Amino acid sequence: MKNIRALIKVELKSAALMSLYFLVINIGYLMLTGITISSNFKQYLRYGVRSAVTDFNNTAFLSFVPGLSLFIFLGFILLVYFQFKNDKSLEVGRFLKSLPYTNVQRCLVKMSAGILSYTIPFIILSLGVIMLRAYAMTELKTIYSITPYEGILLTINSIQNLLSLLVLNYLTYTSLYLFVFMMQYLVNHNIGSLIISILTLLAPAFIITSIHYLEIYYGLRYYLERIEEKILLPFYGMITRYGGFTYTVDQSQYYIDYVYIEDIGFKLFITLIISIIGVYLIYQTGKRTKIENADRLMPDAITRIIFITGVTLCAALLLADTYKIFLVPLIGQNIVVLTSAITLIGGTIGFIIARKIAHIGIINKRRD
Amino acid sequence: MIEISHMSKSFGELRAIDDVSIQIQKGSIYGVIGENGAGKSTILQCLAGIYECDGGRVLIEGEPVYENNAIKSQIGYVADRNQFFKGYTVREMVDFFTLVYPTFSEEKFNKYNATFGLNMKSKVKNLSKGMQMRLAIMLNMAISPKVLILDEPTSGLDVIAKRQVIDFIIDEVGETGMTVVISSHHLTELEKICDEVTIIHEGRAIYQMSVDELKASVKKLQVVFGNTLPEDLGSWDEILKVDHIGSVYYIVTNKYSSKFEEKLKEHGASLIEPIGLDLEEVFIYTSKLRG
Repeated sequence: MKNIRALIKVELKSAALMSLYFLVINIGYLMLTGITISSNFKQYLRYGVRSAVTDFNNTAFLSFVPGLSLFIFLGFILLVYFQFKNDKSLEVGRFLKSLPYTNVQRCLVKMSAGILSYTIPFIILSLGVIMLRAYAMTELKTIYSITPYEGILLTINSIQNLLSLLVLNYLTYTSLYLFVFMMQYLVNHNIGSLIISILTLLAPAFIITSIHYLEIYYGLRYYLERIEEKILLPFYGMITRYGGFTYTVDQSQYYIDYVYIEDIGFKLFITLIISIIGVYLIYQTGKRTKIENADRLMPDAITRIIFITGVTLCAALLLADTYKIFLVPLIGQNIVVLTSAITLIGGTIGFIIARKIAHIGIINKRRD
Repeated sequence: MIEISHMSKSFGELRAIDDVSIQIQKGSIYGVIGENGAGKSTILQCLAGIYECDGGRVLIEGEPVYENNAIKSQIGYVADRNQFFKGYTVREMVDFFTLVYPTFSEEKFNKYNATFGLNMKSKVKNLSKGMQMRLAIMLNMAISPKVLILDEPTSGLDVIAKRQVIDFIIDEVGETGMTVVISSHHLTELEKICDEVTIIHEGRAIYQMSVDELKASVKKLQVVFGNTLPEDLGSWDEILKVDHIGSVYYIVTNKYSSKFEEKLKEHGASLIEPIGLDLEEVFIYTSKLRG
């Protein structure tokens, strides 16, 4: 087991570069938050308590974190690309496979290095945000104490809310990273796998949006909306909601908006379950991965079936959406038969293309 | 001892290796030869634990190789193409091997490098194909492996380097009793160093014997027939090829024996003169049988 250090060293080399990226992004956001807080204080000194209550709410601490998601996700794409670049090269892949390490060891070390690369910067970010909040709250507590909304303002600015959001964000990041990581084992081409990962993550949102747009519910609208609300929206980073209330000073009405996390326990549970499932699937697929299947885009039959089904469904909806957006205004009415026919054509085209893609490399003529 | 028993391996619909069994004695140098695409590299990769066999088994010292770290740490594997991290320097590769293999000896590596003269600061990607091959051979020999697997190790090497590599291998086998499994297109070299060979054709082992036995059974005969030439000479089971210059017939057989000479004499041969073949010629003639 001593020789595992060599593997860790190799994996940390690619992870270290991305760790630096995550650190820069996180520190950048931390600085941005610091600037916002400082600017809010200036506003307060210039315009008084009213400004402090309306402008200086908890959005400074809570809302910016989901905003990081896009940059973090971009980081995950690059991280996974670098992590698997060597493994996906046939020559280096064979060399790595000839070394005295099992598939599981290589997979777990790689995954741990990846998780570490964003976890350390995230911890730095979290500590920074907590410290900034502590600093700001010493002033804000005094300001809030002279308003009639002290209780509400202190609640929405509570450390519990902030910590919950940070944990939720971390778990969301982790489940996203694990998903992109797992896809590398299911789809053999490095960049192809990343593209399919991105499209797969966007697919549920596209399907739901299309169903709403085309109004094809088949009596399942209620369930569809619950899934959308409880699982999809939180997963897409919309883990906070904005609320607000108005108050009157000198016959003028002011609106205070604030951020809150709805169903925090449930969301934490969902992201945790997704992460655990991700780790389990990575372990299973990593264990069974074979370098001899490197020429096959999707070696696993179940993956091929899911991919073909997904592409067929999305292609059908895409063509139906296109028809409704561009042709229905020209025709003047939505002809149900035509919609069905176009959906069918879209599905058929999607099925043919997906089938071709999924079976790349399945019939292999290489012997040497 | 290495035991490959009824090994088979398919890539999609292609059966790359079909029921191959090889036994390799400890401390021997074993050659695997065959045309391009015959399945040599696949056999070596199964032996190195890179590929998993679909059927049969590969055992080293009685233990399976695939996913077995204890056995794999005793195997050195030199692939036919560059296999290392392109961004690493020679120095970094040495450090990497030091961490991976507890038996790796930097002293041994430096001793080899005193001959090959690789710059430790050079990046792997900047090394020529021959240099990369030297690096791979040096690193794997410095592990002091119990089994060294070499897939076309002399490809890309100049004649001097080829000679040096072969000398290193022979010395190492002599000193440590290491087993070497080697595949190469340069059959003249294999002939000099191999104790036994297996000829692979379309995934099957068609000959498996010591080089001397192989050369003793595949021979070219200079034959002069008396009055009549046997009409069906070309279709005899024992004969691979028949040529003639004037009245002198050149017969290549893969079943040379005194019995065969007797048979020729019974069919009117008045003069039979065996001509020795080297391994390359044996391979070329037997390939006609295969093709």
